[in-house]
Amino acid sequence: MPARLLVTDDNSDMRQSMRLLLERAGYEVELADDGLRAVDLQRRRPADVLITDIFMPEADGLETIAHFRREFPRVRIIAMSGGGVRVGGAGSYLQTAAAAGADAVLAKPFQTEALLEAVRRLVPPA
Amino acid sequence: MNIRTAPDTLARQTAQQLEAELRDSKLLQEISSQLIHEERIEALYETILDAAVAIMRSDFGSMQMLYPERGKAGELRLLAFRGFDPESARFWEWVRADSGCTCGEALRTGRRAIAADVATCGFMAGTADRGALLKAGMLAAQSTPLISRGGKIVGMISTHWRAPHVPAERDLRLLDILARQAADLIERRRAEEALREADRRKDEFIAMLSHELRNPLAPIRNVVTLLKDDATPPPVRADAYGILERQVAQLVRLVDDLLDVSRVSRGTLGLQPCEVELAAVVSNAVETSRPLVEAAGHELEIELPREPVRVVGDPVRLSQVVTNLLNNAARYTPRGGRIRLAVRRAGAEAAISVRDNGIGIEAQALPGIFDMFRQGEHSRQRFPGGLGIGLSLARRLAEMHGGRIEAASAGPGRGAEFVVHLPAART
Repeated sequence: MPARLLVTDDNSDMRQSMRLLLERAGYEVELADDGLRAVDLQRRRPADVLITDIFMPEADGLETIAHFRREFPRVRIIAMSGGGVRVGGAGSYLQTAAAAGADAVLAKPFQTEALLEAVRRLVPPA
Repeated sequence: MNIRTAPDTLARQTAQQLEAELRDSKLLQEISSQLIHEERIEALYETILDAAVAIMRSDFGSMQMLYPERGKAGELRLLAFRGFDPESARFWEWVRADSGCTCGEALRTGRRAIAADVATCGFMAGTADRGALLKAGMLAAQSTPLISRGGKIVGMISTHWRAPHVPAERDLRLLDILARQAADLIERRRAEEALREADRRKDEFIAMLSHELRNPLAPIRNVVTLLKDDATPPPVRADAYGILERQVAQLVRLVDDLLDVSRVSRGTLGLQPCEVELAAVVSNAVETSRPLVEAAGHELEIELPREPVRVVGDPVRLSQVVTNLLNNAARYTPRGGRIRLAVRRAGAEAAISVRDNGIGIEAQALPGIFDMFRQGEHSRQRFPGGLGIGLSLARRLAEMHGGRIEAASAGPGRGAEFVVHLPAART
């Protein structure tokens, strides 16, 4: 059975492009446009990997990662962000995401191979 | 006249006066040198206030800065004080122009106000300030406005006495010298605060810009990988091209906006005016904004007058003004909101209004809403996208057409309305 991936991003074209790409790579892909919907989807149709953006309108990525770590501790997490250094804070958003429990981080725009490689590492092909 | 005692008394009086003059001029000289060397503005307020209390031989003293944007006629904020108990400092922390104290009177009249005897002073009669002054043991007071080089009141320096007191002309003249220096300081502080604020906003803008520019690049890279692969089936390729097209268009929009900002700030943005009908301007703008409005599930209602309304202007730039207002309304209105666009003619003016039932604007944010890069961090988190330059560009473009833009909102959660006024073309 192919691994299930849950992609969460507020940009609909980003979501669609991830679906096209990851389905071509042989994964099953679910899409959510914000963190709340991601949690909701995960409860109904559990995925193996959450791939989430950091900046999102409702429940941002960092909150979503923290929530997944609490409620779904076995789900692996990839965080992606185009954000730079956090204003007034220490380190980048991606560093914060790693500290919050993301297994891998990708700076947008990432090389597609880097994404596929990260997914393969977290859910080895059967 | 007593000839024998006079030279004696006169000599003594002259000596005393000289001593006082010497002491005061030394004081002023010290202050001038401190003003040059001291970097911390706060320390300088204290120095000037001490000097004012010494020169006026007063028991209390205060320095205030005017915040012209507060209230109807501005409000004075206490910066430094001498001899005030905590209760007095709280009572006079903010002072309005309708206040009964000398600083309120001086703010109203723009001139020095003196209450030689608080108990009988006319403008204090019946005010809460009179009671507070008497309670604090301040029986006489004077307030001298701090006037900027541009002739505006920027603050106030006040001194108070424990007993009724008429300040001497000479003391007041010296105080005026101090007041000029204090006014310069406050202007310097204002300028520094404005610079820091502009700098902070620019930093935020650059962080936001890099984020907004990278965002479309991620899906573009994803689909380029798919399109490079010959084995990718036609339906997937079609979807990929659609994504590519939209995200490239988004990048082009961002870059165009950036170029416009730079043209506007360098004054090189040219207009190609002709007589245009506002219905055409509105229709173009609606076409441009449609994707954003529809993606958010908003309902857009357009009201055009029966008689065509014409203005002289650059149709592309006028459409841009309306587009920016529509995009702003779409962005700051929660899903499924209502946006109403109306064109009307009022006398010699044409007006285009865009009203939404969105998140609204706090009263204190309204005056700065058209400033470049102004986009609350809070609103940015909840409503990402955009660079925070749309309204600023809209205003500049309206002004270049001899018009203006006004913003109104009943407050947070109660929607907002933006109205563009343009000179109507003669029919």
